[in-house]
Amino acid sequence: MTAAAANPWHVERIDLDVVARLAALHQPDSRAIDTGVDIISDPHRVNDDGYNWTRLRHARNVADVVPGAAVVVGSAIGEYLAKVIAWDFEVSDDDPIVVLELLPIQPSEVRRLLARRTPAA
Amino acid sequence: MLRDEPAGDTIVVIRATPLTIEATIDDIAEAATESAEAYEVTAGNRREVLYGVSVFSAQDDIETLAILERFDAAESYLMARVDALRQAGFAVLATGARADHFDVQLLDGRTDHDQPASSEEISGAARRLVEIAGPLRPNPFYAGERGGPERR
Repeated sequence: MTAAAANPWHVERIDLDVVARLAALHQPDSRAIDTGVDIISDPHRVNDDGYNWTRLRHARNVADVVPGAAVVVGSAIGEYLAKVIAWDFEVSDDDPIVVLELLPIQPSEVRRLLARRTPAA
Repeated sequence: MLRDEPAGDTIVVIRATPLTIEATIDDIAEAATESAEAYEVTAGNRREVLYGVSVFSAQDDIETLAILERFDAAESYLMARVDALRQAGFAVLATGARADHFDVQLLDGRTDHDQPASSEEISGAARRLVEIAGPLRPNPFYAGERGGPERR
């Protein structure tokens, strides 16, 4: 017997008005700007669902880190790829927790992949 | 949510670090500060603020290497014995969904009714944690800033 797994493509979308409100309040994270990443997080963190987490204030651009987005995460120990799973407003309405799934692949490997991809003839 | 405390035979906890001690202290202090903004844990019969620093446990060299491989963008890492941390007053709490994930509680006994710890207090505790762990160790999986050699 097999158990039904959660659908990894399913994302709890955020109302566009909420995204716009938070974007209007947002001051881009200086480290994210300096390093060119989408958001800063500590890649060691694990929450009760097994995901990484950070706060929205650490984003460079709010609209780039909405649930469902693929992002580059910056940290004091390098860069990582992640998918944004959710925004959690339990702690703050203005600075939600951004829930991330860290992907076990290096950004440099993705750059290589995209560089060698050629359009079909 | 807390799982059971680390097993008695859990030997070390590991955290990937930047290259210098001072950068490591800053990184740990920031992690604890942000944890305290978001999380509490139950200690005895009351809730206290979690000034937590995420670490991973390892019981042997194979587990240590498996952890470090995940953090191949990190040049260095810290490794500390769980009993040494406890003797120094740092609780090691089983947190998160992963069986090998723990939080080291940098500052215990503070509730959300207390004044938040100052940055000096948090940095001081981070420095003590780093001192207990000893020198930073080179990460054998460090892949360089570009994530490893380019293929031809």
